[in-house]
Amino acid sequence: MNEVAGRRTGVLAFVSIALLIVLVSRLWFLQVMTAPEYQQTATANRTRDIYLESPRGRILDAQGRVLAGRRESLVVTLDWTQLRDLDSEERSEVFGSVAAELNLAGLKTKRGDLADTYGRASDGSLKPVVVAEDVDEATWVSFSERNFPGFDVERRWVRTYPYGEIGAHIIGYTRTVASQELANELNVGNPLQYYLPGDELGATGIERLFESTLRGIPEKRRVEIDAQNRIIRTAEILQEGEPGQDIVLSIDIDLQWTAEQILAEELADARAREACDTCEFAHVAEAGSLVALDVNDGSVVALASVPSYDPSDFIFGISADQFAFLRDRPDQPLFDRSIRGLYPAGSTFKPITAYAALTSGLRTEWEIWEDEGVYLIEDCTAGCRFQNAGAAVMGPVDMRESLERSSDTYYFAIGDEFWQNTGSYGDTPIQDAARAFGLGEASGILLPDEGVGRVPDAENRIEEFGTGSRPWTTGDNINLSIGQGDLLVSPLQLANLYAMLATGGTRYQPRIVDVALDGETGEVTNEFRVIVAHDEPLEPTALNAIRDGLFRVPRTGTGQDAFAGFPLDRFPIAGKTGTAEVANKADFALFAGFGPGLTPQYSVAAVLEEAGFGGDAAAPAVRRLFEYLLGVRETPTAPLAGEEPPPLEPEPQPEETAAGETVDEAGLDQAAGAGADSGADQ
Amino acid sequence: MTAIATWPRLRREPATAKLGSVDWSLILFVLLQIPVGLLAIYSATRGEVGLGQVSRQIVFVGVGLVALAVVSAIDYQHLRHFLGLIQLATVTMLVLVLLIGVERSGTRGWFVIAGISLQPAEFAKIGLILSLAAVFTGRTGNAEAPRFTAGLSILAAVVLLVLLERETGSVLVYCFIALGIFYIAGVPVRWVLLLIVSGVAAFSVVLTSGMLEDYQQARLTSFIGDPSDPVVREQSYNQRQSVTAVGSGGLTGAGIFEGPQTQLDFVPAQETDFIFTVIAEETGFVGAVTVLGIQALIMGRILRASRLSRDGFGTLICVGVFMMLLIQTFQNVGMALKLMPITGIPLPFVSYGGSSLLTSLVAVGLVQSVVIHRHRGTPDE
Repeated sequence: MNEVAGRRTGVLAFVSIALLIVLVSRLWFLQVMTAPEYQQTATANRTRDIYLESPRGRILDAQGRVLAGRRESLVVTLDWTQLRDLDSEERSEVFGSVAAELNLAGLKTKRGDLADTYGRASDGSLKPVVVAEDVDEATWVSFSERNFPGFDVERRWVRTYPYGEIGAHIIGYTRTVASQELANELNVGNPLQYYLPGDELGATGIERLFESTLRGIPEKRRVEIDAQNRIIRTAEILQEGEPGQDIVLSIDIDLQWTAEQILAEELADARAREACDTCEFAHVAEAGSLVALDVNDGSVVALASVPSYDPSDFIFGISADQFAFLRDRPDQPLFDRSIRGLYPAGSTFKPITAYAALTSGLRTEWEIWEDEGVYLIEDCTAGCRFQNAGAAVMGPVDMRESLERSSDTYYFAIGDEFWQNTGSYGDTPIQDAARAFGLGEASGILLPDEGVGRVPDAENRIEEFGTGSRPWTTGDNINLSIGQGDLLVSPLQLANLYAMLATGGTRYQPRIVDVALDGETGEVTNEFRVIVAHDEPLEPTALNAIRDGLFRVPRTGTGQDAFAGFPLDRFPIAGKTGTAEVANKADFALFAGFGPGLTPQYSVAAVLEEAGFGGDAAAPAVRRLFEYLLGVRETPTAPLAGEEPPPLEPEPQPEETAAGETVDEAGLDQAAGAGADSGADQ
Repeated sequence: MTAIATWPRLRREPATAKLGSVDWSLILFVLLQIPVGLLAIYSATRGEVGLGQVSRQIVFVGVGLVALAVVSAIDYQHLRHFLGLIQLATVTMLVLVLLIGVERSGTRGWFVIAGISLQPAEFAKIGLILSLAAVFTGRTGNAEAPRFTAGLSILAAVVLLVLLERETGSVLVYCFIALGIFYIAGVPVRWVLLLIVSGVAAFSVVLTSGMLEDYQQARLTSFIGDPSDPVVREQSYNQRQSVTAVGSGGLTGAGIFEGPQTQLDFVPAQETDFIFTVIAEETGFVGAVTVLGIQALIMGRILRASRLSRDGFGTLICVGVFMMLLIQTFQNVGMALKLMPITGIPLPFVSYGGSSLLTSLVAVGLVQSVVIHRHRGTPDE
């Protein structure tokens, strides 16, 4: 080697040592000086925090029967984060294979459906989206063998509604958290119950109002993932999961079903009945409500709203078409008429007018009013004539008879006189009484979206209808006196009003939720106590007169046909029919009452839309429900979804006839239950 | 006695001389480095395709070691006689691969024969080293300029062919081999500098001319490039993951087969281009420096061989091999440490890849030949 080469080799060696030092220095910097930083990055890189939804709490009836339950289902899920790196052709191929696999398993799926789901999920959903539910084990095995990218089979908790349509409005239904925005909103101030898009969320009814109780605490897990976002293993449990609490309701599902069944049958009867000759509108009679309360503590015994829907349809997310169909159906099955339906009270309002008249001194209980069938306002120019239904002339009536026979002119006079003598008996005596009985305000039942109703007066008319509205006149007072005009009440408010007549002044907040139970131990975690909403004894003389009148209604008054054959001697029922006029529709039939006797237990209210006279359509529904409530008939067992419903009216219970009490057997509905075996139940 | 006595002596003396002068240290260091590579490849690929890649690499190790032995045994001076053949074979391979080669990760530089992939651009390094070494030590003409011109022509021819395959990484290696040989052969420094300047200029032209594929450009520019460009982002993602893996290895590493970034596939191409990342993550600073140290010892032995050589040809062969290993090691490790831009250059003796391993081992064989045969014949200078 020559000298130049030797020297230059030295230079080369020097340069390479320098390069080596550069590399070692860099290594020293990365691996020793800043290593902790990179270790942190590496941890964040390969771990992800995931949440596993805990089983949702159940909703139980008073006997502990499951109204809303849960089960585990094998579902096929799509994780878009594993599909995004494929090109569209590869993705389409995967969708094709998965669709083929699912179709093979009998789950009809189109490639396009999967592509749509992918498109929707890729807005950032962190949780794999369900594309097929309730797959069998064989499909599970075949999916795990074929290992389609982005598709997996996992166990998920799903809701069950064993009783289908029964009590659906009370129970409600769940939907899925549709977007990250919604999840973020839900998570504000509620980090423990952490929601993700795709999670279950109560949408209506108890499911919605008790969302935070029913939803458990999801398990938060730190998992190790690989570069393809596949979960390798669980690294750490960051938060233990907890199942949701159970909610026990005050209702008995058998009675609830019975009430719904009675209501549906009475509506069918009303549809079949010809509207009166002079009546303009046919009996549509598709919808109504039947409410029963325990007057002693306000517990809801039954809260029926017809028509109903099956909350099971919502379990895996309802299709937009199906939902639109339910929402837009003219008979509004999603609408809970018992608490949200607002109706004119009609004659069922008369006890309030009577109470106002008696307590203000405008009338005395025995004062006779000559009912001429028509009432004319004095010194009046237009809209001066008011008349009884069919302008029937009733002759001389006192307070009791006015209720018994439902004289309108008796109340027209009271309404007119209160207005003509404003100030002498208070400014708004009828409205004051109505409010004392709980009208015009939410009852406070623990269900969402309760209707408030309206007790109209001169002031709130302007608030509600604007300053340009027609001023309050004596005609408005006359309308109000018989529960017409702008007055609106919900069936629940009506039942609660009659419950207050039963208690003599105590009005409870209707109570539908009894207790909440720990999801694991079943221990009571929260007791929903009886809440008194109003407690001021009613004036005894007035109350007695009104009660007397109401007890006469089923015996000899407007309810006597409906109550024919009912053991009124043993179980005296007080009630009032109502026939509310609604513009451009057949009359709405109402009946509200309480019983039995002077130690009443239940109050019941029925509203049947476009069903004609209250005595014809609503009173029978109340009568029949009382038969079950009071044990005259044995309550049948509510059928589970898909089961054949039992006959509603089996034979009367044998021990009652055996006790030798006076039961007017001949009067009982003989047509039904003739061949039914009543002993077969229980 | 003479006839009988001298015959075996004549036969034996060179043989013992050869064996005695084998650079066992060089062999030892190479034999140390190869298992390190196999282990790292196994760590990077296990759980994916079983032992497929490791066993394939082991086959190449076997073939490579045999080739090393065979090449060592041949007196490198004899290679001059076959130089034309070697050059022809090199050019034929490079042309053929353009015609019937398989495209793989963007480069059209692969022969696939019976399931075995071969990369002519790797083997061309040997041809280039021998050709350049020969040009500067040939008997014809001693003037520097014509030799330099001839050397440049050879370099240009190979670079051009390989550029057509879009093997930018290999081009870089060729240039460094040439630079080293020019420098040691005594080409004036100003010429070498001029060459470097024009090389950088040519590189810039290539980079901006649109001749490169997007991904290649992105690889090179991601180093300094616009982070909002998705291609750049992906490339810099690779390097970021690599640096994260290296950094998280710490002083002593996560443990062999325990490196999370490696085992969870966060670092791409970790058995080839990013093999050093695996080593650094799983064995830490200690392991990484050890591997670099062994690599440095191998290169040190080669540089020593260049000094021991009996002639310029041998010296320049060793320098060529030295430069080849130096640039590949620095570029590959520098890339893993985010000191250098991303080019697909394997780490000699360590990275997965038969052609690269075979080339490196044949190159060591050449050096060994220079060492073994240094006492024979007369220097040609």
